[in-house]
Amino acid sequence: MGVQPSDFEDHSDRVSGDYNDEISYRSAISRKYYYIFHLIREENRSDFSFGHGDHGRAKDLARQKGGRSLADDLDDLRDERNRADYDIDDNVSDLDLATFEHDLQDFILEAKRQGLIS
Amino acid sequence: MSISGYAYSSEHPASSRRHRKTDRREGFDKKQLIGFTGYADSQHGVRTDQISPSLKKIFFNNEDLEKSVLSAIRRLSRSLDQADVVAKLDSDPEERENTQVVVQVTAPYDSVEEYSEIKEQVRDIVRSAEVGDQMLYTRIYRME
Repeated sequence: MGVQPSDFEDHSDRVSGDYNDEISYRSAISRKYYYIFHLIREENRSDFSFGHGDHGRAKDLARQKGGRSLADDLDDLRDERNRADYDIDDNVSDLDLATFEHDLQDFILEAKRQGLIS
Repeated sequence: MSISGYAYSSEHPASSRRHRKTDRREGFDKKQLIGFTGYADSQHGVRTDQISPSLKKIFFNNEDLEKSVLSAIRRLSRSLDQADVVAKLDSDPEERENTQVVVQVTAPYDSVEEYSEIKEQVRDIVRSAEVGDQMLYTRIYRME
């Protein structure tokens, strides 16, 4: 049956809407990164191996299509996802989730403008 | 707009107030920095501990990258109040071969708007400092 990229986004919104604690902020950030990652990959399937290295490929593709700024934007999202899932000694707050969502919206707008996603 | 009062001091206020602790992965171990002397003087305007040992190693083969990083750190340190600026060679924890040069700014902010303002400023400064093809990625971390 599987899921769609938008299911990751929906799940992130449900988690952040229903809970107000750090583990939920972390989960929401992580799910939302995978929303945009899967969206990029699904819409540019021939550029990916669907295996190891695809996160780096997504960044390379962002740079090819949108230049350094777009690649830097995607790297910020990836770094926040890594922090959410790996750096458990850090404090992740609702402000961190808000800045992540702000960055994601900016990235989506520019990625559409540059033809990375439709 | 300057942190010059702290520029060459080990007592920079950011050093003990980093919100993020991910530097533990990047080799910012003061013991490893013993013997690294190249950038600690006022001529370069960059402290030794502002460049990770792993990044400094690849400077030997890439003069443009060295110029870019030094220039970015100098310009950011001059322009941002209360910010801690470092450069490092970063790799993704799930794709270790995916490495990149990162200029990391840890600064205080209390809202998305303040964060966006700092981010835009950092991006502009770093882009203007870049020499050659090597891209410097930027990271903004919150200082508590």
